[in-house]
Amino acid sequence: MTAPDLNGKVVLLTGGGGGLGRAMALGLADCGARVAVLDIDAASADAVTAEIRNRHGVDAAIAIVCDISIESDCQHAVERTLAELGGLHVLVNNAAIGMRFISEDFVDTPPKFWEYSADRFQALMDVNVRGTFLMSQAVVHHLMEQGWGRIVNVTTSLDSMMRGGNMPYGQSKAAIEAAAASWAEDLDGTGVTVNVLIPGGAANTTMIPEHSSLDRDKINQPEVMIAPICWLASNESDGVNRKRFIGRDWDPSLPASEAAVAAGGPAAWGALPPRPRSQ
Amino acid sequence: MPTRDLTGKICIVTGTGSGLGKAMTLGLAAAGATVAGVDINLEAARATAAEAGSNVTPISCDITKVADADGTIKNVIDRLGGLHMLVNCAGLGMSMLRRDYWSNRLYFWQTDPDLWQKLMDVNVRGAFLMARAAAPHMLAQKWGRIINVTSMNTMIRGGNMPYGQSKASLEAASAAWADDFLDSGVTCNVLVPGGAADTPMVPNESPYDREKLVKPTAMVAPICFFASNDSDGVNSMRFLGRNWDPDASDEDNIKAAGSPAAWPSLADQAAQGQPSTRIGKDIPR
Repeated sequence: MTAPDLNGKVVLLTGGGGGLGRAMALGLADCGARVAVLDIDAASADAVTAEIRNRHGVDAAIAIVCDISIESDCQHAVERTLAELGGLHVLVNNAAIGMRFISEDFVDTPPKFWEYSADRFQALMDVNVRGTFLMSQAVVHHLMEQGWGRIVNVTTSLDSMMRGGNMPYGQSKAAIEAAAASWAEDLDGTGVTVNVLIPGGAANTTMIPEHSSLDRDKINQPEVMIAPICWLASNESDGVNRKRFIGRDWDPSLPASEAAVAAGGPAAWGALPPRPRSQ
Repeated sequence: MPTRDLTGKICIVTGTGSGLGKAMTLGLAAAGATVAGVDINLEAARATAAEAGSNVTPISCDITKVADADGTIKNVIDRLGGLHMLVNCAGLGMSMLRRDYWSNRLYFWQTDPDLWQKLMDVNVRGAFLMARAAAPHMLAQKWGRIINVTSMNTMIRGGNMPYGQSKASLEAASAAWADDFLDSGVTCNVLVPGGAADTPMVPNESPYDREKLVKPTAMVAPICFFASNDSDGVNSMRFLGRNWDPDASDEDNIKAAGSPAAWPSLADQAAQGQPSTRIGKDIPR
């Protein structure tokens, strides 16, 4: 396939300082997009911005420190993006707090839901669910006015959403998966679409502890997100709405339209086949 | 129908003051259970207790506050002598965000972030705080039930956020909590009416024919089943009250009204022809 041409597109990407966000930021910039790299951690946002600028020049990226759980931070991030990058076309809701925040060794000793504090629960939900909502609210008016836009929510596999030992991360992702499907209906006919993108299993990011039974070479690499996010950010995905895409299943050797069919399905749980009735 | 004697079972029902919570409170009390009727509105909780006549203790509690949730669980255990079942029924609906959301669709960009947070706090955080506070006691006695009330297709419907996503979050949590409880004697299941129910959450001006809405009493037979020892071992399931036939055996009802919690079940139950009513007119943006 040929990579989509994203010249002229401006992407605001949350959690851009590391993991999936860093991979997507670099990949989008490599296709010509200008990227607002948002992170709550200034040093990591600066580092990824510097990487992009090294490759594509000083105008290719800006770093924005932002706590997405705060409404004014989100609005300010959008204002800065519009002022400094000259537009805004795509929001990637990627920022999230993972299970390490709940328990460092969650991979091998999954925490029970009665073992963690209400404060940890709330802090995670505030970033993963509220932050995704506030950021989407902050960008959507501009996107609707220009009649073209993308919101992409990064969630997780459906089984991870409902797995024991994986709360509240799983339920936070269930909430933004449901929201993505609903928002897509709200935006129907506006030229703005909402879709979900996931790696398709654990990914080699800092969400996985340094020491665990997972083999980092065998899980998904963050780069599996690049081809689908670049396609979603491009005009080639016009009209694609309320879908979920799995990075791991995206075959970069295929034309994007074919890869998208193979790696995509309806958002949320609509894709699951009805269960056979027990007799 | 198996007539259940729930004497000795101590249950908490949140949202006892109206709708499904009231129906379940009255049903459990009538079957002999001791019920702590929890509501943020103490007057409403008292009214339900008065209607029950006996067996119901009204308790005022803001389930979104850790001290209230912890205090209520402790209070019930101390004063009522134990705790066997927690029914997380309290929930805020879309009419809290926009009274006429049925005809005047609430798009997600029109949602007041403060009201958004308030709904999420009650529906998601509140259920978590209550379950978190109740779990240790249930685990210690090796018997317990947590029942979460969620919703159906409304979880992913346009014009229905954040209610839908709050219920999706609680649905996912239910399946996960059930996993966390595996082999402990404590279970977690989901109970829904199985369609829009005739409660204050559905405003009078909504397009539904109220006669055709699911009656809140559809929740009673299954909630009494859960409160009893007859539901031992039933875990990580999702039940539709309206598919529960009070005249049928538990075994038949589990087949007819139940399927695994969360997404597999939602896909299944949607395929059975759940009406997917579109909310609101397509108004110009």
